[in-house]
Amino acid sequence: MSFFDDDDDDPLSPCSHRTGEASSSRQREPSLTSNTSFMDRLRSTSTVSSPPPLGQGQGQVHGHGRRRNEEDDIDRSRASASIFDESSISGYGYSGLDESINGERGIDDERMEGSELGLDVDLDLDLDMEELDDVKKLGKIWTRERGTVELGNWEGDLIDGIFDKLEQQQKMVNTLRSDPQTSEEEHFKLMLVQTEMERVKYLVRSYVRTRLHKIEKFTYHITLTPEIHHLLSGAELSHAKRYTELLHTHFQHSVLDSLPVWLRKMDDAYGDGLSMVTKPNRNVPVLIYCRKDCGEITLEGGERAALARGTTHLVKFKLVDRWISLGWAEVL
Amino acid sequence: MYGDLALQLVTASHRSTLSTTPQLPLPKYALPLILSICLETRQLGQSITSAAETHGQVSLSQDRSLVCNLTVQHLAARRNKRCLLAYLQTRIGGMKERYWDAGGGLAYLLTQPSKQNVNPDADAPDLRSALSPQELDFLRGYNSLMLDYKSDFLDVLDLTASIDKPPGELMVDVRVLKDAGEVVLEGGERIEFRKGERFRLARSGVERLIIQGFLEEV
Repeated sequence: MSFFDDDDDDPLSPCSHRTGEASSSRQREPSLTSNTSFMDRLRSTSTVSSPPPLGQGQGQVHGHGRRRNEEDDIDRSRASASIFDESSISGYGYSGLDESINGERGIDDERMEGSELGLDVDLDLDLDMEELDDVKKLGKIWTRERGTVELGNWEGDLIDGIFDKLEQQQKMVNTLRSDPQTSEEEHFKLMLVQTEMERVKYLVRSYVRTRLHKIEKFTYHITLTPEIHHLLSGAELSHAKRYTELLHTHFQHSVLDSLPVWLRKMDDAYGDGLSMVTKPNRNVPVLIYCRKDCGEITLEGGERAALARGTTHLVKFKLVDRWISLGWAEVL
Repeated sequence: MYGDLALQLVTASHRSTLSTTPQLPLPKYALPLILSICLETRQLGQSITSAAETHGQVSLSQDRSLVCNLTVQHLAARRNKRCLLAYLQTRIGGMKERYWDAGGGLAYLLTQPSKQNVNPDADAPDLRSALSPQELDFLRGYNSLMLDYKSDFLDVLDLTASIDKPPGELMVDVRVLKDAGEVVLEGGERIEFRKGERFRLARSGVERLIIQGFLEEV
């Protein structure tokens, strides 16, 4: 689950102490108006002349978005509250889901039957990928990338968007930090914003490096199969090609050149049918959560299993890969 | 026997966790063993070719002992190749892991002395002497590949920074272990790091110095 779900009560969760920080900062600010003006100032330093859309603001200042959530809980009459409300609901939905999964995590070797899901999860089901903000989306694709054996699609637009926002946010933070009018309390809030930025950067870094690891592991497979080239970004593809060359040169110089000519190939198959080209093992199980009704799948033993909406299963990757790529099923 | 040497190479590399555990020194490249395996494989190759030539196509389909002989030699040669590549691949994995752990600092990685107390009779004092020239070339090539790749991201984030755990705090307390001279940090401040001093700094700015052992987290 994305660790940006700040409503998660799990004490092991890395953000639990951050939630504590946030709530302590709320106690420190007596009036609601001071915070609002701070938000306005943060936005007014933006280079965009027109007021940025709320969703964008939330993506940029995730920490602030959260504090806004908590205040919106207090003061629901505010007109601008709608979008933050939605995300706060989704946050609660996820924490509910987490608990129900943890309860059910007795893992069957072939498949795990879905859990009884509470009412709050239904709210989450109706929330599509498009309605989530960028950071939540990033959390999801990051979990998917780490949870599956095959390379997922490169989310270039999302990463670019996040980079733009990080850059803008950095500018705002710099401006406000050098502004003598910024009060002590606002400096504290700026620190929270910066920490949040570091955490987003961590996610991007981990995402990119997970992909690099997979690319290097299956580098021959990737370079030899043009059909999957569309999954990679341009830089990743050229990295894969150059890495293959590098590896090949290394093997060639180290041993292959001193072997008989007929043993110098790198894409042979052995007598037992084992190929030298490593491919992703599609039999590895994945833990998925069905966002939509995915129909029935046939298991190895000929048994059939229904992937109903809102259930959780542990199945072999090759059986559910199309649902995962469609986004109907979510990797946990 | 055919393949004995290769077996020796692979079991040694498989049993030892030295090459895949970044904290321990990488074992020295087994050059003599590898050369003798290559020699054995070449001899096998020659013997296969000459046997096939002298007997010709006709006897190959009739003389069963010859077919058997050739098959065994063929399999042994292939097996040797596979063992050699497996050995190299394991070492590459270990090298890359160390590279990432060092935060992509190649020069630092190569000169860092391995910890003497871990293994007093380690046959290589630092990583550079444990690698074969070809491996060194590979690591350099890999380094330049990574530099190219991360340059796309560099204006926003440093890809080679640690991903061990998500950042919790913005600032970090550090103590200086080695003189690092004057360092310009991200915000443009200059700090003179002298041994024994303590600072409270932004983590992202000094992470690299912590990895390289100039600073220590308190």
